[in-house]
Parts: sequence; C-alpha cells; structure tokens
Amino acid sequence: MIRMNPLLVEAVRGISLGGTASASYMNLLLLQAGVLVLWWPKLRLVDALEANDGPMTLAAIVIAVGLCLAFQAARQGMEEVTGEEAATVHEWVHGTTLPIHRVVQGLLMAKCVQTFHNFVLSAPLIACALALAGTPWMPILWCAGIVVAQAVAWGLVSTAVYWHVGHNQLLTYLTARLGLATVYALTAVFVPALSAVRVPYDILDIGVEPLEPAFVFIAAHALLGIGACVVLISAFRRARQSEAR
Amino acid sequence: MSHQHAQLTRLIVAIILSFAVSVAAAQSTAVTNSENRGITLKVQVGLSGVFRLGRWTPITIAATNRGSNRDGRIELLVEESDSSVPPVRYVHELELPRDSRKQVQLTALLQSFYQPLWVRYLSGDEVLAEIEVDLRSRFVDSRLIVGLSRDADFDYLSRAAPERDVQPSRVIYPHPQQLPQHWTGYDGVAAVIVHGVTLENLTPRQFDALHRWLAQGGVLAVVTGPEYALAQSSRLSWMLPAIPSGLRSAPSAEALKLVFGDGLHVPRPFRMNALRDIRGDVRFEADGVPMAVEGKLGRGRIVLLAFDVTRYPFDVWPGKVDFWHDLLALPQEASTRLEVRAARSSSWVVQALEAQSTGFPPHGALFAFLLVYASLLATAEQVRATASARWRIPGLALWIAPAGFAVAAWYIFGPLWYPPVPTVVTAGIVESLPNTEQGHLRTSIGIYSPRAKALKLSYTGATPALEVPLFDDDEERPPLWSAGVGDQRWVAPSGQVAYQLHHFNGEDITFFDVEISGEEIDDALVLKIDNRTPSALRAVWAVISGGARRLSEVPSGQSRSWRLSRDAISAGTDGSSWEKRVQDLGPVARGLDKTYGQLIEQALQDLASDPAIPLNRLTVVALTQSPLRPARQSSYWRHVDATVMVSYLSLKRAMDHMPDPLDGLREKGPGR
Repeated sequence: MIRMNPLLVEAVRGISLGGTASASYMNLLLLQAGVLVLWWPKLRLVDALEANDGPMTLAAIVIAVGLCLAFQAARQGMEEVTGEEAATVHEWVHGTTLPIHRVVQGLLMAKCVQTFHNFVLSAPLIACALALAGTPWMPILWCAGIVVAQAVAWGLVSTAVYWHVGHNQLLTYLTARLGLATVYALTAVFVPALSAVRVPYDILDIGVEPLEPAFVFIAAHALLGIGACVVLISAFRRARQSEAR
Repeated sequence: MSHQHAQLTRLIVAIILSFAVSVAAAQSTAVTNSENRGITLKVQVGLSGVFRLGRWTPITIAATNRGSNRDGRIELLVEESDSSVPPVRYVHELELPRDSRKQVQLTALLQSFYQPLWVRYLSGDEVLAEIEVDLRSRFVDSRLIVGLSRDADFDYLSRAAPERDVQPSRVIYPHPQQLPQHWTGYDGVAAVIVHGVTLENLTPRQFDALHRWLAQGGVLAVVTGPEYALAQSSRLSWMLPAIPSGLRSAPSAEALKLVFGDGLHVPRPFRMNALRDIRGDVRFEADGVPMAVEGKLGRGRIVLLAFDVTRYPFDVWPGKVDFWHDLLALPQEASTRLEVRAARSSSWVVQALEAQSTGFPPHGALFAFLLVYASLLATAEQVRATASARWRIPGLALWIAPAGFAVAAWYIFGPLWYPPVPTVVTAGIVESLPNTEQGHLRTSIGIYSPRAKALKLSYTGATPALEVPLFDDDEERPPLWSAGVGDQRWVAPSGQVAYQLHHFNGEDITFFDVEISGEEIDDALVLKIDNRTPSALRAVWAVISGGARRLSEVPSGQSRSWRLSRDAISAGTDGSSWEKRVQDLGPVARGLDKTYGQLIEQALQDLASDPAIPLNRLTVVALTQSPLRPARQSSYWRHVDATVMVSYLSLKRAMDHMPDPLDGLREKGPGR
C-alpha cells in the first residue's frame, strides 16, 4: 500500500475544510468572472464574420485564470492564506522527521492538487468561453497545461523565497505581488516565449500552432520548478544539519 | 584539303541539325507530360483547342492507365498571375482500372494565359501523373461560332463588312464529342450552327448543357438539306420551331430575289425542305413558302433554315455573310465575366445573416449563470465554515460540483444556445424562363463555421458555375478554393479558421418550372400560375407599372388563377417599399424582410434594364426556396435561404386607366 504523503493529505484535507485559501480564491473567481463579462462578445455575430475575427473571450479568461492561479499559488507558497490548523513548511522541516525528499515531494504534490482544485473551480468560467471560441481541443489542452504549469512553478518558487525571507512580513507581501507582476511584465515585453499573457493569446486568438510555444513555456516553467525544488532541498538539508548541531 | 573541307562541312551540318532538333524538342514540350506509374494524361483546352480569356472554358482531360488498377482523382489547378484572384482547384473523382482510358471534362474560368494550367492524377496524396498546359498559344479574343458539320465551311462568318460594326467572330468546328458537358462551357460561344449532323450522338449531359445554354440566351441555327431526316430526330424536332417534312421545289427565282436580293443568282431550280407544324415566327418567306423560321426557348432563339445555305444557289451568293448576321442577330457583348464579378458584393449574404443568425449568447444569460454558480460556491463556503459534522460536505463534491457546472456551462452556451454547426447562406434570384422548364439562378453563397474546422459544403439541386470573389488583402495569401465536380458536387475553401465568412457567387440554368399564362379579357387579366417546382411560392405579387398586388400562395405541384381587374392592381399601388411589403407578411418572411426586399428590387431592376424584355408586361415575384441546397453529406449544416422568383408575362395591351408604360416612349419617339 502506498504511503500517502502527509503534506498531500493535509492539502486535500484543507480543500475539504475550506478556510482562508478557499475564501481568497473566491475573490479571485470574482475577478475572473469580471474578465469574462468584460470580454464577452458585444459585437453581433455578423460583425465578427465580416471582420473575419471571432471573440477573444477564451484567450482573455484563460490568461486571467492563469494569472489568478499563479497568484494564489504564490500566496499559498508565502503562507498568506494558510489556515491556522495547517502546518507551515518550517514545522514540517524542523518539527518532523519526514525525509527531506518527502517534504519536497509533498510540497510539489500539494501544489499540484491545490492548483488543480482551483482550476476546477474556474472551469465553469472557461467552459462558458469555450462554447464561443471555435478553437480546436488540442490548443485548449495545451493552454490548460500552461496555466497549471505556471501556477505549480510559481508556488514552488514562492515557497523557496518564503523560506529565505519569510521572517519579514512586508517583504513576503511585496514579493508575492510585485515579484510576480514584474516577471510577467518583463517576459511580456522582452521574452514573449515565456510570457503567460503572450503565449496563450498567440495560441488561442492568433491561432499559431500550439505545440512549440506551449512546449517551450511548460519546459521553462518545469525547469523553474525543478530549480526551486533543488533550492528547497539544499535549504532544508542545511536547516536540519544546523538543527542537528 | 578537299577531304578536310568535306569533313568540316559535315561537322557543321551535324551541329546545326542537332541544334535545330533540340530547339524543336524544347518547343514541342510546351505541354510537358510526366508519365508516371503507367498513367498518361492528355489535355485539350477549350473547343477545338481555343478558348476566350475571361470566359468559362471546357477542359477535356483524357487519362490512360497502363499500370495496375487505380482509384484516385483528377485535379485541375487554375492560378492567375493577378494576386487578387484566388487560385481554384477543380477535383473530379476518377477510377482507372488497368488498361483503361477515361475522359472527363471540367469547366474552369480562365482569365489570363500567363500561368500554365496544372493537371494531376492523384491517389490519396500521391501524384501519379501530372501535366503542365501552356495557354499562351490557345486563346482568342473574338467570340466563337460553333459549326457542327461534317463538311460545311462557315469561315466567311469571321469576315464582316466594317460598316456593319459587328463584333469579330471566329468559327470553330469541334467534334460533337468535344461539346461542353456544362452549359457554362458555352460561355465564349455566341451561336451554334448545326448542318448535316444529328444531336442524337451527344451524351445526355452534352445535350442538357446545350439546352440550358440556349435557355439562358444562346442562338442555335439548324440548316436543313437533303438529309432532312436528321432534323426529324427526337432531340432536334423537340426544339425546332418547325419540322421539315420532305423535299419540295424552291420558289421562283424572282420571288427568291425579292427576299434575298439581286445578288442571288438562280439560273435553274433547286430543291429545299417543306416545313410543317410551324410554331415560331417566319423570318423569311418567298411566294408564301417559309424559308426560315425562328422560335424561342427561354431567352434563347432557334432558327431553322429550310434550305441548305452551303449548296447551290447559296454557296456562291455574296450576300450570305450579311444574311447570317441578320439571321443570328448576335448582340454586342457588354462585359466580360471578370468585369461582372468585380462588381458583385456579399451584401445579400451579410443581410441574411444579420436577420437570421442565432448570434452570441447575451450578457443576461451569462449573468444568470454566474449568479447561480456564485451562489452555489458561497453556500458551500458558508456550510464549510459553520458546519457541524452532520452537515459536512463530502470532499468529492467539491470537485464534482464545479466540474458538473463546467459541463453545464459548455452545454448551455454551446450546443443548446449556440450550436457549433456550420452554416450556409444562399441569397439570390431565380428567373423562371419562358417556354422552358429551366430557370436562371443567380445566387450569392456564404459559408462559415463557429469552429476552426475544414469546411466542405456538398450541394445538390443546382450545379452552378462558382465564382470566387476577388481577394483584396495585401497582407495575406488568398485562400485556395477547391471545387468538386462530377456526380458529387462540393466546394471547400482552404484553411481551418473559425468565424471566417467564405463568400462566393453562383450562376446556373437549372430546373425551375413555373408556367405563367394570362388571358386579357376586357379590362381584366386572368392570370394563372402553375408551380411545378419542388418548393412553394410562399408569397406572390403581380407587379405592373410600379403597382403590386398581393396574391395567394401557390404550393408546390399546384396551380392558381386570379382575375385581376384594373381596380385590384391599382389598389396595390401604395408606394410602399418592397421591404415593407415583405415585412407585412409576418412570419412568412422569417425575419429576412430587408434581404427579400433588396432581392426583389434587384430582380425588377434587372428586368427593367434588359432590352429583350418587353416594356408592356406583368411581372410576377414570389418568395421561394433556392434550387441549390446542402446534399446529404452536408445535411447537418444550418441553411439560411432567401431566394426570390421572378418571371414576366408579356401583355398585348396596356390595361385601361392604368399608366401606359409606352406613353412616355410614344412622346419621345421610336427607338428603344
């Protein structure tokens, strides 16, 4: 029988019980609903046909969902929205004898589950736009991968950042917001291939072939996540070693 | 020295001969034939190898297979050097068993000779044979006259006296087997002269094409001679305005000179054909003997000569050129296909879409859905926050419920409210042609899909010549249009883009049998409409001198009669626009008031500007269904149709107390 990772168990339990994380994502859902309403087609169908251009509702909501998932994952990584009952990462490292790799493994799986649950919460909004889009399924699936990959990666990165600067609440607060915004702005302008705005827009609205841009994006964020995991492993080891001394 | 001189001479001669042979070989490969895998292609462009620019042209392709059995297709690619003209690929399915030879004919619109034609035989994606056809030496710029004869010479028709101001013609003599199989193949042909051959050897498609070409305005001249029995064959006798019944003596030389002029020298008598069952107008008559009779078939004319113009005494008659020009009375061609096409727009299709498209789901529906979803989430959150163990929400529900809402959202805003099926819009005018069961269909067709998928519309009922619109976007490449010809007809633009409206025009002569007849009694007109089409005439108007009177519907397969008095028609002169009249029909117009209104106005305007249509007429307009409709393979497509029928009845006299349409002309003087 496979032993369930306790961090994963706690994440699933946290979803069931609700709490701060759920409430904070509800606010983000409202934001996504606002984006959906704003980008809902106002033109008549015949105008879209004459312009040879369909509505960009799906691209807008997918980008919004991606940004919100990443932001929520960052906040969860910074433990801003962790409930009082949930254990912090410091507690897992210092307060348990769980092997380091299991801790990191659990963190990764917990991020995936939380991200995937938040994605499911946003799914009805995406489905509304999907009906209008006319986009084939493959580009949509690739974009779903993009959305999940960036959220998991930024969740791990924010955990790594929190481990090092978590003692400073202001720094934690600013990092989760400004850091993400800065990265997204810079990539949108200078590195479009890694932009969470440009790549879904190109795939869903412009209609570029999705395989290459999506693969590059997901691979880059996978590397980012792996890098964050490496940083976390070495940081956790140092912490345990210093504790042992 | 002399030996060396001879050797040098031989060497020089050999070099010159080799060069000459290589040049000749290079020129002869202006048509290059790539024979591959036992398949050989031979192509003939036009009739007797000539075609006219800017006209639909028959292209006959013979495929021979010396290899194994092949199941593939012929593709003809027509590309123009003008980037605004999209390329078109015509596709004809063709199975080639071993040691077989088959021939297919496609009809394509050729607008320039700069780009060669490419003809390929493919099986799947594999090109088994291809041939490049150079068009530079094949085009002519004069209209064509087709002579169907074994031995007659009508080349003198190419010559015309300058003072006659007749458009130049060129006479060609194609074998009857080469005649077009679609009526548009006669697009460059002004007239067909039949002499000493029968039409019974034409395939049913060829005869049908000839019939339809005549119905839309072609001219057929039949010259009878001693072999008058050929004119008694079923196909010809059905069309001819009279029937040759046997040989008889011609009228006296003096009588003939009165008709044909002093230039006709008749030193001895000759034999000509007697005519019976005369149904047309006698054009030439000598001593009471009909010499030439003209009848009508639709908009076309059929002229029957009771004498052989290629034999004594007419063979050396100097007046025969003028005689033919007077007899055929070919009108000056006003414009080419290219000019007509450039003027067309997609306005009918767009208007029909405005009225009929389901449109995007409204904001209200979205708000309602989001409200329900938000309420569910808020309730769940509240229960989780305050719940005791008894009210705890199962963990799985927190996944299944949003997923279920996602499925519901996709269904409500998709298949339920906004079905993702492709749509075809047909908007056009069908003119029921007189004296024939054919109708002249001019339609604009638009296809689109709300999904990014390849569009392929299979259609049936009518087989129009499809004209793709000019492409005016400098930044993008024009789409490649593919058209399936043969037994299964389809059209498909390249690309898989959602919300892209592909628009093209179609013109066809197709079955549309509506007979309109009338009897003028005193100040009234008894009008009868016999609808033999598969569609009902849903709303019918009788239009005369600008006034319109609404008549009842004429269901399919039925006829209706009305007695129209002057009061009845004048009461219909209310000054309303056609859009308003259609709007008053209510649900019959299905919301397409504006489109129908514009179509009716266009149809009436076209009749009014046609010099062949009599001014003193009663016009009938009706809402009907397009003869062109999606075939079984495209039956799931949504079809939006706005088609009007128009026809007219020539009146012998203007009805009393109605504005006489000829009044203004009488005041101005003759000349129309």
